[in-house]
Amino acid sequence: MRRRLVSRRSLLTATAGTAALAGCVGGGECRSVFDGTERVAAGEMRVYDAEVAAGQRLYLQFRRLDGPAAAVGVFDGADEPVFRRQDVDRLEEIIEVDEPGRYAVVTRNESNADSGQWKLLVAVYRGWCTDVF
Amino acid sequence: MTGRIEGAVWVVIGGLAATAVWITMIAYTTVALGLLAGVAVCGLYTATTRLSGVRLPTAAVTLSTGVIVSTVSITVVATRWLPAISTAALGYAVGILATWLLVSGVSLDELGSFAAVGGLGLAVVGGGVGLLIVDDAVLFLALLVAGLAAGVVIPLSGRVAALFRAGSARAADDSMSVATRFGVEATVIALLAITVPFGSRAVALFGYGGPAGFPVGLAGGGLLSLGLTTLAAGHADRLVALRDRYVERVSQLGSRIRGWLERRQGGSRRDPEESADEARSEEEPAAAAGEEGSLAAASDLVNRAADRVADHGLVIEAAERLETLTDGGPELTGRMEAFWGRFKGAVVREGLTAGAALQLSAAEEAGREDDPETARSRVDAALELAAPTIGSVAAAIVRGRRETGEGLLDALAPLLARLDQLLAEEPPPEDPDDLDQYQYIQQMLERLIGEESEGFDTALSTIRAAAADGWYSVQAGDGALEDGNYQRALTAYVGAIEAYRRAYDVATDAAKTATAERAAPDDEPATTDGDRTVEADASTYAAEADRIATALEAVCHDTAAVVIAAVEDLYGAQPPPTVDTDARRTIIRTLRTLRETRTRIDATVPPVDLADDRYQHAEIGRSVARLRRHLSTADGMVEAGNPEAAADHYERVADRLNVLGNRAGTAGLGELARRLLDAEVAVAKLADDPSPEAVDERPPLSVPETTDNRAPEVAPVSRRLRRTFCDPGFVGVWEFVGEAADHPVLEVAGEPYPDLLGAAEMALSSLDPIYTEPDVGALREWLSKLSTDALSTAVTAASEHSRRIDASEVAVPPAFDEPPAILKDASVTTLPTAEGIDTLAETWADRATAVAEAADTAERRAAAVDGFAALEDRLRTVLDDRGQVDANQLSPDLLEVAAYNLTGVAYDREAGVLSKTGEIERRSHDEGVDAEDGPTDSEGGEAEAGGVDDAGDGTSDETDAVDNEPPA
Repeated sequence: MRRRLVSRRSLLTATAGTAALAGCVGGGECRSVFDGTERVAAGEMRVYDAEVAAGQRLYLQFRRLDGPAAAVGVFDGADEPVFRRQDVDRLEEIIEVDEPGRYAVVTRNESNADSGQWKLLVAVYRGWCTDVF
Repeated sequence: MTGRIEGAVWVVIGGLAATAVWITMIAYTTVALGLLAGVAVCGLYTATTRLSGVRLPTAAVTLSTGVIVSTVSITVVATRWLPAISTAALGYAVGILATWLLVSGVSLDELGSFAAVGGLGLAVVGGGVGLLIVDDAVLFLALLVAGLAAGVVIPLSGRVAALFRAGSARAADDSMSVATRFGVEATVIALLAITVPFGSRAVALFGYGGPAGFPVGLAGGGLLSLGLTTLAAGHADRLVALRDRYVERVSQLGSRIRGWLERRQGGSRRDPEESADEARSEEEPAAAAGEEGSLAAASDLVNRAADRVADHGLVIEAAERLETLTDGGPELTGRMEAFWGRFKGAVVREGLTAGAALQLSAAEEAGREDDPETARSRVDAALELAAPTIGSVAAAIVRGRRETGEGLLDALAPLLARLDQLLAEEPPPEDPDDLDQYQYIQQMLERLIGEESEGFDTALSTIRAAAADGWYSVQAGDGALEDGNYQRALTAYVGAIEAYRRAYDVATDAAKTATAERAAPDDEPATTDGDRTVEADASTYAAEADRIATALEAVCHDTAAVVIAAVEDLYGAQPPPTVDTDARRTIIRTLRTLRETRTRIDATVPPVDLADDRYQHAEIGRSVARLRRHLSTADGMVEAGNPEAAADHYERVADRLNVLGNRAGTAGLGELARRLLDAEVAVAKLADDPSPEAVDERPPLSVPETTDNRAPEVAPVSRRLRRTFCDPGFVGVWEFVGEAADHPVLEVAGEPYPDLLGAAEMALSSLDPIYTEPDVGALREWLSKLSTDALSTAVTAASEHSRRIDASEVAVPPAFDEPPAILKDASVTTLPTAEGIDTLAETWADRATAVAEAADTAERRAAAVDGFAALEDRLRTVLDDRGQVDANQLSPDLLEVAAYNLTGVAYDREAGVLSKTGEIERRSHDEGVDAEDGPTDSEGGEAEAGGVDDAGDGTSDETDAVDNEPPA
């Protein structure tokens, strides 16, 4: 049999090399701080802390499943609000972070009577992040 | 220009564009999109002006248009929205399919009307349904419209281009079937329906830069591709020639490679003996020359080492000794002497070298008994004893060579010489904050690995080197901990954890690879050295991984304890609003590393959770302290009569307290959460009614001290590692030398013993417990010799003091004259070396303490006797003037000697006061009276028996107060 000039092994090596290069060049970070559903009683709130470095992005995805809408806020490391919205039914937001620190994502049930069931994804990423996508 | 050249140019353009897109994508995504569009524009131009035929230009035009439409749509959508995939995909798909069907239907004859009606229906129904179900109607409509537009533009582009070219370039035989056209369009439409929604979301999420980048990229892409095609058109002939040459070269290279492969395959089938003989005949002269060369180099190095300070020289000594050990016989004593004689005067170094030499003897012994593993551990220990840093690098290389017996020792001298050279080129970093120092061994190893020939297991070496780095970091951390510098200790411990993690990763990867290779034995093995595979088997790597994981668990345990201490140190019971940022970052980084490591090795390390809780508690306390400042500002506003502004402030504080309370609750700090939420209620009430009275009533805002008072003992990590990995015998020896090195008896013995035992302790402390397994017997032999020598020197020194008293001209009280019993005991320096180390340590410590005390007493007494001889006149004057002298002015021993030698004085031993009772005279001690007590007093004079009897009973030690007052 005639030997192939381009062997499968070299093709595999090339593919692996390209993938590694891609990984190096695009090599991002991607970390879910919280991904799940929570039931929040009337007047209560939930706080999700995320340690974010400069140049990273903080990703929020919120969906009301049941009950009242929420007030969503993000506080930076010095406890100053960087994002605030009320009566949120659905939300997807990216916050670019220049000041590193511990950011707090707060979801609050402002209703007096009903508890709310909310789905939330909080992630910190830089570069590609499948969870967010 | 021929078609092929054109194709090649486009391949180059594609490659360049892809590279440019790749590079700009990360920094400025819209520029990358613009570049693509620019290239597509040029493609469009080339397809309509240069390409002949119908099919290819149509396909190129349709594709180019697709790329342009897609990049423009992505840029616009991503700039304006963060599109949800479902909404965007639905809107765009409905739009593009609907108009495409409509346009295609209009241009077809038979089934066309159905397609057109279908397209219209899809537009109406799809649009309506979509509007009903999606969340973001604006986004949906925008993408629907974009899709509708794209559905018109894509099919029309191909047809319009064909119209342009109809008169000029159209070839009669190259007409395009409906199916082909439909296929091309369908492909591009499908591509668009996927790339636009997904691409725009990806760009919105991960992209950088605004829409301004798009025209820049467009211009760049256009220039790039237009420039290249124009250039290529001008140089087509030369390019053709170049291509021919290139193809020829490639085929030549191919045939060469084939030939080489064939020769190689043929060669490996030759008689193995033949090739072995060949190799041997080549190697022999080289080996002989090498041996001579390395010996010459080694002796040269020994000479140089003598000129150099510190440990490098010692290592070369050790290496040379190793060599003689392997090619000589077991005439150990003679060579030991020669070995010791090298550095005359440097007793300390000799002592250390003796330790290393004994380990080497043990290694030799193990090698003879065919126990390679033990031999390797002993050599490790010897190398580390001789010189910690480069000894570890050498140990890593030795491990990688996987040689046993003589081979293991043979190559050490050249290796150490090379290491010495490397060390001279790049000395280890000395700055304690330099993180590079925690990878020094590995860096040295990496520089050496390239020089190692075949037959070298890089993985085993790397594991060993990384672990050695870990161990050095642990020691650095322990040192910082001893100085009470928690931050530096944590930095070093994190360095250690990271180094061990590297070792662990390499070990687990190697184990996996080895298992996989065993599972697929048909593949040719990666590296072989003769008939021995260089790579160890999976179980060896797995054992390494287990060992490192155990070490990691131990390090994590103690590091967490240090974190707790560091948090307490940094924050205190009531944390201040601001703390040292660097220290805080170190704690955060450590905690993160600890959590990750715990997960990686799948271990439970309870103190990590505790440390996490403490940190959370302290951080919340810090936030509360900040809020206290806000509260006092608000209180000030209330006082100043500005309740509205104050209410706003209070509200914000309450908000923040709620956040903190919830955070505390999530972190499992129930009590703290409750307190914070109570405080929130109080502050919120204040916000409703910010009156000065309410301000006064508000309870102060504070954080309860943590109720969980568990605090794991802050201990040096090396202690746990030693207890985990070392033979209990070694721990005993190590503890013994630790005690011995600090023992006061060494001061009595004098130089060089404090330094010698201190250095021995240091050397033993720096032995890496994870890898080195020293021969405990040899260590014990070495240390018991050192400690016995110290003890007997101390006895001699103490006896010297006693002799000084005897030689004195002053009469001494009988108790003084009696040398302490321990000094008279001839067996004091005979230690039970044959029994266990504990017995040895205990006996040594008891005797050493007794000897030290005896020496102390003897020295004090000798000083008192000397002191009295020198100060007698002054003492008399002072007694005459003031009537008494107390122990603050002169030592009690001196007062006692004075009382014994003077009349007219009384000495109260309890109060330590010598007082005058009558006329002071020198008392004479009659030889006859004192004979039985031993002291001889040449001083003549009248005997005053009363005083002598009183003091001469020999009971003065037991009597509380002795009155030396003579009878009047």
